[in-house]
Amino acid sequence: MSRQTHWWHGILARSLMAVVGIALLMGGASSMWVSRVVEDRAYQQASLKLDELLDTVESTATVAAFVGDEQLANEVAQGLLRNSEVLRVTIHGQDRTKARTLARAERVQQKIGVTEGNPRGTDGTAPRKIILPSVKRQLYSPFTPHEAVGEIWLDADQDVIDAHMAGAARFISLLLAGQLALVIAAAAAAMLFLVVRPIKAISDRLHQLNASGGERLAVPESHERTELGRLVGDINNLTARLVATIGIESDLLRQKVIDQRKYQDLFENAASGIFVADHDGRLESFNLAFATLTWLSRRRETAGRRLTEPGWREPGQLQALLRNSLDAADNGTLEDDFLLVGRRNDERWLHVAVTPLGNGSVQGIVTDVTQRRSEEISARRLAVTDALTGFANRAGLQNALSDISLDTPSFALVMVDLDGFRRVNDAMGFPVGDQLLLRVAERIHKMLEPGDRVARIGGDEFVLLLAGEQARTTVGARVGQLLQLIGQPYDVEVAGNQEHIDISASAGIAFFPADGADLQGLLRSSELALNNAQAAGGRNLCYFDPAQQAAVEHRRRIEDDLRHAVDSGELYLVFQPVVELATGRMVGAEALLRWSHPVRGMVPPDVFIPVAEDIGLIGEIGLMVLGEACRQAAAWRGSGLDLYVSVNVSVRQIPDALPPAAIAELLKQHGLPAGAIAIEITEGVLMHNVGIAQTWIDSLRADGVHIYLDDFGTGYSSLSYLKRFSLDTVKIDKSFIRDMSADNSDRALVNAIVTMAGSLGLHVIAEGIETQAQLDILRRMGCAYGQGYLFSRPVKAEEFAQVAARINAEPVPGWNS
Amino acid sequence: MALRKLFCFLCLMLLAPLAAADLVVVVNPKSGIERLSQEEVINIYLGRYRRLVSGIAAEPIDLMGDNELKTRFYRRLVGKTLAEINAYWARLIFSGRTRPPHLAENVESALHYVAAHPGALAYVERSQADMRVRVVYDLGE
Repeated sequence: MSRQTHWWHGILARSLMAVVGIALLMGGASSMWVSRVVEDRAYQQASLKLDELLDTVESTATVAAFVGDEQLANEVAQGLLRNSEVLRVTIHGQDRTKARTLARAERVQQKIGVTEGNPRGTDGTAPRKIILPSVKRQLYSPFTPHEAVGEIWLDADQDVIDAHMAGAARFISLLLAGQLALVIAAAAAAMLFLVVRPIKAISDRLHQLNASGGERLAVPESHERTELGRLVGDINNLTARLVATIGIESDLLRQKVIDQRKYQDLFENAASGIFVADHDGRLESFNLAFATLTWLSRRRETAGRRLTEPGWREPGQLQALLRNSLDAADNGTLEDDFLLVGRRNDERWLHVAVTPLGNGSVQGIVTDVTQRRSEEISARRLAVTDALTGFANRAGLQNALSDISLDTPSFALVMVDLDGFRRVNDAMGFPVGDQLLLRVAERIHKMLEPGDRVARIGGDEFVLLLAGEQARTTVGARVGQLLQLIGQPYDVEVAGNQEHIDISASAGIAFFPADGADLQGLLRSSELALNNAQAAGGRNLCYFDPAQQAAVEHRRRIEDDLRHAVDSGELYLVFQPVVELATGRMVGAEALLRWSHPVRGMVPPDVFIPVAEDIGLIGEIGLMVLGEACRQAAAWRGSGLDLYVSVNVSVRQIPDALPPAAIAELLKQHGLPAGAIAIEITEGVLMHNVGIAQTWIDSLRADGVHIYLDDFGTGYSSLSYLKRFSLDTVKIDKSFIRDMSADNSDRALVNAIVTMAGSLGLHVIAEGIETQAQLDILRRMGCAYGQGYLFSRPVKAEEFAQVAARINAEPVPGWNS
Repeated sequence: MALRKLFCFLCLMLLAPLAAADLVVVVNPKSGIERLSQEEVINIYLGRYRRLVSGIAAEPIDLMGDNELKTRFYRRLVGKTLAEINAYWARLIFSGRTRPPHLAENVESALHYVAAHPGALAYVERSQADMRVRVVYDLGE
């Protein structure tokens, strides 16, 4: 690091050289200028002096010229020559007309011969810049001033003047040189003491500075505020930072060494195989476990060894994994399982996860996943197999049909279901049921032909795929045989005893592709057909009927729309007044549900209520209706209309979808007395499950809620129900009222109902009163209440107040007959 | 015409006594000089010309001492005082080559000398110029 240092590298030497150089330049320039000035002045002075000399001799010379006195003239000339600057004197006189030289004197030259006006260029010295011309003065007569009597010439001695000048220039140069030397010395001293020495001190100190030992540079004395002081401060700061950085660095290095040792151990002793390979799969290193796992020889040298060396089933895939990992933009880890085949054809699944190391190579971790793979395979097999029968299950069936397309040859899908299997299960227990299923499966299996497939997709539901069976008759015959076979009695062991079980089966048949383009479609179709077969009494087979499909589709759409309708508020209530026939006063209203479909328009309740019942929406809808009815009743009561509201309840709502507690809660919530709400049920409710219905009704009545029996007379109603259930009111179905006037038997029936109800203490509401005649008849019979278009059709809540006002304002209709 | 000349002459004659102070330069009639210009008088008297035009060596005569006539002469001729004239001559005498005019004790001796030497010149008052000499230059007054 240390470089040879010469004295001329020093700041002092450099700055001195700079100072000297500049001083020399300036000195040279100024001395040139000065010598120029000196020269000019020397010449000026010389000519001035010559003029003065002439002045002193002028009068004498004039006299000499006047009288042409050569001797006098000579004296003057010699006198002038005594001045060193004067080289030559010539005095001319002018006598009458002719001129003549009176005196001519010249200094004897000791030096090289000089001729007048000849520049001294020959000896190589610089050519003279200024040549002093001869000084000439006209001489005039002392007595007649205008008369010229001669002239005097004076030639300066150039050499003498030059010598003067040179002397002056030399003196000035010496002076300048002296000043220069002083300046340089001063500058050198200043540099030395102010800059060089402190810097050298800093430098020396820095050389021996033990920075890591905490030593720092001292600021040179009196340099606390100079650039040097700042420099020292900066150096100290930098040093501190460097020391800190080096400390961190060395810590890291130590850590790295430790880590490396640690990782080396980890690497060598890892149970997982670890390798590092380049993008071509050339191995850079690998551990023992890798060699063991991949059945590589344990030679440790890696030169020329490749990742593809072991017997991979798909070495290309492995290679691709490596490349993809390296190409991946996010440097992500890629992993996959690879099958390794040994020399004796033994297989091993290895999981390889590769991660790019960032230098173009990848690190891979290899683990033996053979166990996991075989478990997966068996689990996968299990997943598609029915454990009981060994047939495919629903997933297996799905797999089998996952790739059907329009090019697939047609086949028949047969769904077979045991009739009343649940009864067997319930009565004799699951083990027997399972035994039975196994036996059924055996029989099904027995009649399968090559290419057929079978699956058990539900408890007692089997699906058969009959390949290549297109003609209905052939399929029908085969399925008929199957049903026959299944229908044979079974001997099963029940609690140690052999027992006979008779069970039949039904089948639904659908064809691909006519009845369904995929498994779901085919299953749906065959199930519909199966339902038909079961509905027809079982032990039967049915083909899928496309018309049925359309009906199902329609219903399904209604289902969908109905779900939507509940959420979007398309369902609303209308109210039909119930009038006291004797007075014509309104006493209540029946709430009726309406569905205004955005596309289909009004959907009748007898269409959507069964749908709601089937899809389990009835509970939600029922609660909504009841809530709305309560809200409305409360509103009317608030506005002075003391009415009750009756609400229709479906059999499916009883008892869980509409618990009495919920009704009581709603009443309480709206601040209504129990009598403000009546529940209308049909005879079906009573018939469906007598015990449950009775409990439910009793519970409601105990709370004070009135129970109406709707559509009375239409069902298989038994009069005993009227006695058995505690009801409040019966509503005579409108069909009786409608036909009453024409048909005497209906009239008699209505009369009988009214009379009977009266004797049982029940109120009667006649539904569907449309004419005054009907009203009159009913009045005469003593029927207390009625509803119908004669009074009002069902109206929306907002119109109801108006209708109520109209009905209550009408005079009591008179007796017409 | 003649009458007028005569008149003029008579006038001059009449006026002559009045101009008794007039200075004139006179020469020997044999000198061959009829007239001299002021410049010629100066050059001769102050040592420049050593010969007359006729070729005879010129011998100007000065008066000795500092008298009134001499003073007037130099003042009239070159506008200088006698001291200045003396100083002038002092320089020339030093060289030895040029000599100042001969000195005469008085006008009479001067005239005498002029009459005796053909190259001699003298300055006298007009009234003093007689037949022996010829007036060649009139300095006027």
